[in-house]
Amino acid sequence: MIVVLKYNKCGSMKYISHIDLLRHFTRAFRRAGLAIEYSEGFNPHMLINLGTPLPLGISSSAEYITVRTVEADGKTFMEKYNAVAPAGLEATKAFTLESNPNLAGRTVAADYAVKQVGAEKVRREVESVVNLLSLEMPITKKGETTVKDVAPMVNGVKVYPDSLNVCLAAGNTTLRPDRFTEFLAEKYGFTVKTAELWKYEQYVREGGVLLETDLYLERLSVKEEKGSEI
Amino acid sequence: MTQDEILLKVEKPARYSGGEYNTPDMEKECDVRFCICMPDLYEVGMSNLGLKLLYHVLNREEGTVCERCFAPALDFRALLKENGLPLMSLETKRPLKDFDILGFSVQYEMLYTGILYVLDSAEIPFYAKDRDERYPLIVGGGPSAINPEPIADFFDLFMVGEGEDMIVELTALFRVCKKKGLSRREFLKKAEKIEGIYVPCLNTPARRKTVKKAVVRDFEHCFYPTAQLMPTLEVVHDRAMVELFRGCQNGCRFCQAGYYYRPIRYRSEETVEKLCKDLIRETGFDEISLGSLSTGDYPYLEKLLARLTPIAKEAHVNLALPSLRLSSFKKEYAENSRKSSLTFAPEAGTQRLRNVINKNVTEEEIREGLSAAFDQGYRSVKLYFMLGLPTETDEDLMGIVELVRNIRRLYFEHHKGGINITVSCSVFIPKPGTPFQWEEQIDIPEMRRRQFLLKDELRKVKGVSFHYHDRETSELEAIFARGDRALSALIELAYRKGAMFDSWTEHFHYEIWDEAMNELGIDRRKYLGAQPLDKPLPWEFIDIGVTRDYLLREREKAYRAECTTGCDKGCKGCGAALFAPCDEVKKK
Repeated sequence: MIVVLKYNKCGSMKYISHIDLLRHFTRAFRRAGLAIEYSEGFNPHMLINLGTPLPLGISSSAEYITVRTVEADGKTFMEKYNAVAPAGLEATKAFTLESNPNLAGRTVAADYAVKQVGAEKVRREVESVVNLLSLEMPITKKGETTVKDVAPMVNGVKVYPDSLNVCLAAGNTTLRPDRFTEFLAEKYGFTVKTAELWKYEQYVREGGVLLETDLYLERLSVKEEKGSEI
Repeated sequence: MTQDEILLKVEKPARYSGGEYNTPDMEKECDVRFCICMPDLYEVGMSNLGLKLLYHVLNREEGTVCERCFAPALDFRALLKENGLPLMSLETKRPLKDFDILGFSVQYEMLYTGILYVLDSAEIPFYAKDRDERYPLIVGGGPSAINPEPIADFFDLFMVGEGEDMIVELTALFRVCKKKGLSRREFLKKAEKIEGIYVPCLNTPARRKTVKKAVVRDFEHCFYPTAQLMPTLEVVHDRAMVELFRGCQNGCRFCQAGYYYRPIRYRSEETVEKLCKDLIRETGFDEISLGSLSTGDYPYLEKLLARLTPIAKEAHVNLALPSLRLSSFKKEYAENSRKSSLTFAPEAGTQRLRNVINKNVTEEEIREGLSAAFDQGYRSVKLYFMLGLPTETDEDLMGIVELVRNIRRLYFEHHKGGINITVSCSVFIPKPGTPFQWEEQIDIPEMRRRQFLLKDELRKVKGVSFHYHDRETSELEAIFARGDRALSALIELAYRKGAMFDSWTEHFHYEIWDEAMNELGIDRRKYLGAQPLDKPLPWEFIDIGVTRDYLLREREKAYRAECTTGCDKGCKGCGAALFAPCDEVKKK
């Protein structure tokens, strides 16, 4: 059986790297006494898939972990996990599936909100970047700056009274929300606080449109048997 | 920038974020705030068992909250400074100078500048004499407290010996004195009466008082934390640890821990089993290390493994047995751990020199042990040796080469190809509290000659890689190991000139130390040469239980290349049993 947990990554846990995150889960599952399936071989490890890596320092309420387990019921699994979960890595939803939904491979985009000051004045310009055919953004990596056309990676930009919300490519190709919102802020003359950046939704592509991961998982979930009626 | 914003800009921010699973209640009502400071990075400091022990011991005390602080990496430190922020604790992000007590754990000599680095980052004066009641009480402890003199001027007091009981007594006294509004000096006078407490400003080289090290008397029943802090990022020793026993029966004459942690106190296999079960449930680690100074000498090891193996298997937990002696390496132990690599420390290449240092292992035992290991499928062997030991000649060094050749031959009796022998050679450092505390350390040109002699000879043996310790680091370690109070000024000057993280090869700059020694007119041979037998050594006011007479007798035997059998073969009267009941004496 497959259980997918939706969980938060926030508080001091937002500073945990992807590789250390895996360590936290294996330890929590062992504390919970959950029966996880193991790989074969010289160094057996728990059969766990983490989703798309979240850049360090960003909080999230929409992370997903896929676990192969003999525990049949996702809800009980979640309760046992939450009883021993580190603060900031609590599970909020559980899905029970028959096969691996391959979230890491299917995830294409995510929604983020960042605290902003002064963007309302330039709201129209900021929101219209989503319609641009090309948007050149400088990207600095290890001291070298290159210019990249990020227009195809931007799915949505909205300005709210104190937040800037963006929907960006995440998965096989990823546009980092901290870099992108800082770029917009500089370009249009407002400020963003990337220390308060939150990811709140994650999408897969289904039939050419974006589908919320929760809805996708619900469709795949094992339906609870309702007592048969004759 | 706030600390939160700074964290977005530094490498491995999880080092500073705190929030580990199993963090005790930090909000509880308290009147003593303690912060344990590790003068090293998070990954190193969090690997230390002593930190976990004392941290949880303090936090279960009513009215005491204990937090942690590690040395900040250079990038984080630079940003703190740039933004005018002092170094803060991990748990509640409180500036260090707002604590009642800062307790530094000093694991070894090369961390001395780290102490100043942490104090500097926390905006606290280095010298005890420059600090009044407005600053926290600065306390030192850990293995380096066996000779606290080189850093004595920086500390208000030291905890010498085992800390679990002493630290509770100390905080209780602090609480009472704080309530009564007593001065720092009045508190120190009272603290001095607690067993193991050394107050440098009241106990000076001119007016010495003996300080008896503190020892846990009831090791079997003393508190052991099983809900241990879970590190947020991968640390050096990323596993649960259980101490099987304290002390060591072997008495290798170079080994400080072997004398310092006497007497021997075993934990029963029932207690160890219970601790392991609790650790699995409360930490979830995938490995438990059954630790001690010489795990193969644990008398209940077979019974324990029979109990633990099925439990570990069911929970998918690996049992690690560090510090096995070659002679105790048996088939059944090897089966319990992953067959990656074997590590053994013969320490010397000839039987004569092994007798001198009292490393009671024979070539025959080495053959038997390794034969069993190769049968088990091990293909990689790590061998540790020491160079520059008392009475060592080139013949002894050639003995290392010969031993390695024999091991190689033995390997090919079991396997074809794929051999991997690593030979690591450290430099002998005469350490306080050992029979070799009076010996000289060979000088740097001689170290170099011996290292290169070995290197050239081992190059001729295929499948062997050779590593050796940095000579300058070894020399400095030896200077500090036997240092006196004159060295505080050296540590301060070297720090001011930029020395820090000296235990990290890439940060160690010998030139700085060299320059500082020259400027202060410090004669290094005074510390490195043979010490006179008829005068007390700077640290001999500390009574570790093992008597001076015993150490001198062992030294005599070393020069005659005579062995002393283990404590299990009869008590030799070292003196430590007067401090606490010794389980080897009790057995008789």
